[in-house]
Amino acid sequence: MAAQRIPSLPPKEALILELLVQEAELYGLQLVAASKGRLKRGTVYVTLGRMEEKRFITSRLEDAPADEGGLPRRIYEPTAFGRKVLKAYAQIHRHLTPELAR
Amino acid sequence: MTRPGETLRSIAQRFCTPATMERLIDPVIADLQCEHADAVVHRRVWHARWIRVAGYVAFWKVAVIGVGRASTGALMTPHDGAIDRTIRFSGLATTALTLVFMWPSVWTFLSHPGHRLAIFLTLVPSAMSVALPMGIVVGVLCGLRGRVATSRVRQAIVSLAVVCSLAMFVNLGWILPASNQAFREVTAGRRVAPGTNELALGDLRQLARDRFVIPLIASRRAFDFHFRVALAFAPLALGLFALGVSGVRRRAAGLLTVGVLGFAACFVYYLLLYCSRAVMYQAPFEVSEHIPPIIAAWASNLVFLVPALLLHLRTRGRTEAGPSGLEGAPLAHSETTHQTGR
Repeated sequence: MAAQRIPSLPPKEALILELLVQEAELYGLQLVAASKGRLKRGTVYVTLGRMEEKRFITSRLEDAPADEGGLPRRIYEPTAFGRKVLKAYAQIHRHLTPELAR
Repeated sequence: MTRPGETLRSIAQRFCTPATMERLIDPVIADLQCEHADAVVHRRVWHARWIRVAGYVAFWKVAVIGVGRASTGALMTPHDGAIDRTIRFSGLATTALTLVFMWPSVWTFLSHPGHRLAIFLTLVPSAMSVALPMGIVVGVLCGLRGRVATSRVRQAIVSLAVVCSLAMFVNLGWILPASNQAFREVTAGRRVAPGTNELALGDLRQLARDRFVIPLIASRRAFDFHFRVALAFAPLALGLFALGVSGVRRRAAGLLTVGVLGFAACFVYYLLLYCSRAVMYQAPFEVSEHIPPIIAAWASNLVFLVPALLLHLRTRGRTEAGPSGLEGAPLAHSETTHQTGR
């Protein structure tokens, strides 16, 4: 049987997942605004694309454009798998941080 | 009215895959348009302008990263090891050879009062102009040692050779003449009039077009110009030749064999260059006047490009003759042979 790889969760992806879990669904610029400078508008979409490939999040186009004629925004929300990974990483972080800090 | 980002989106559509457009480009543009429209509605003119600039910057960042990822992804195939090895070997060989070629001059001018760094830096372009084509040959032969180059690997290596040739063109056309001149002035400690080798490509072309010189000088100047351009394509000629040779000798070649073969190919190439230059500069004009300068300058490239093309056709014919799935089969066999130490 092929060995299953443990999904990695870099800090930026963890931050995006945290924000999405808190807010349920956000679009790119809302994530940038909510991160208070920790996410940049130039890289957030690339990170979001990578997270979609990893199946941490899913996206859909908004129902109707905010103003007529413009492109519809892409709205992102966490998947059950993404929530699970975030929870697992949070637990690991919680368990290991005190020991490392000693 | 054109919305911000529409032109950029149409440009991106020409280069990006639909998936990249859907996942990366469109979200950037959509957010930019919505945010901009919102600022315009609230009559915040400067904010709208700032959003436009920030959105464009974000777009270019995403485009560069997206295209970079897409091209890297295209190379990430089961055979990417060959490409990776070729690039690594080429880089290593080019660096090592550059240092080797620089060493005699550096050694000579090491005791020069001051300007050691300047001398070292001005020697890099000339050393690289010889080292790069040789590095490509060594890289291709060592990178593909004992393996069949699939069409994807071949495309990647041809792209690498083209990029190196373009870099050589810029180096030989503009950087090398300037660094040669700087080297001469630093070592002489005064201003020195530039020679033919110190002229940029444009100046050399102007010189070659000068009609008010005797035919012998005109012929030599034209040769110098074509020679410079032809030399820039040495990585392409030698790289394609190495690619063809590696396709033929995919089983028997050990590292030493391919190394010797690579240096032999380079030696022959530079010998041909030397011969063509000797013919144009040292042979009696009654002989050299019958040889068009462009043919003399490109002879060594043609000598390598023609066999490269023939070898390529032969290899292509052989791989196409077998079932498509077997293109990688000899590869697997060959790699096993290498792993067991033969």
